Amino acid sequence: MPERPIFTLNDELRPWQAGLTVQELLHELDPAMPIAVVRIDGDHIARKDWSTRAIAAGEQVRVVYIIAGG
Amino acid sequence: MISSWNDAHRRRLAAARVGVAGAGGLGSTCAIALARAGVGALVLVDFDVVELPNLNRQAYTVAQVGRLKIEALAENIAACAPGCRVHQLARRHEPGLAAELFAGCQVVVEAFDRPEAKVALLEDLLEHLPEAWIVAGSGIAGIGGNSSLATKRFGRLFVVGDQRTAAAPGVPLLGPRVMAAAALQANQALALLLGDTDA
Repeated sequence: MPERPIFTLNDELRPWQAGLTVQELLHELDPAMPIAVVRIDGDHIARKDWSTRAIAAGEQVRVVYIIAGG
Repeated sequence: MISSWNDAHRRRLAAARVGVAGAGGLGSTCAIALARAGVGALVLVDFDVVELPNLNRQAYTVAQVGRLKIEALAENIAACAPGCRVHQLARRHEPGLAAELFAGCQVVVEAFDRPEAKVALLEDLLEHLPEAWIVAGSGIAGIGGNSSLATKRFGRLFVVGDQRTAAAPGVPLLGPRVMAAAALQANQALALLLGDTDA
């Protein structure tokens, strides 16, 4: 049996789905859409690209949650 | 961690320029800590005035209520660390302005309050100020939870806080946790200025 492809989200392994965009992933994590900074394999992914940037198998996604208060 | 302290370190801090975006609870405390530690120049960006409820966590006095925060903060810095040059910018950050506001800064401390403003600044800094380290605060409301005030590194962005606890009705922003996070931001900024890039 071939291994199922995965990607990592903040160091956790997750099953990869073809075509899953950053926006869909964030919505899945929190339907209210968190306010966040997203990096993939070290590159910053601008908010305007979230709906078109698909996550590739094996990529490392980091979501930095930005929370009210200062 | 830097555990030995020498003249070369002092000179490096004296030659440094650090941006502080926001002069509220995080920014006012962080700026004073940086100035006391010997950072030579600070760029303070905030358009707000001091209000009485700010005094539960922000480094101002009753006599400073109604004054521009950056002006009051510059005065407080001059009183405790007169060697620090303070550049005051009474401006609101708009996307695309980060490179102009923080030109020449080796580190920029993100100390805004509203999450939309925080993320707009961070995106701008990540896109348009490629040489600077960024030290942000996220998840600093509440009381207790000392060990949750972690610092995490994401490339050249460092985030202090639990990334969870938002200021909300019943979840206060109070001095101890906000000031602890601000001190951690200052500590991270100093380490970066001195070449230690670990969180």
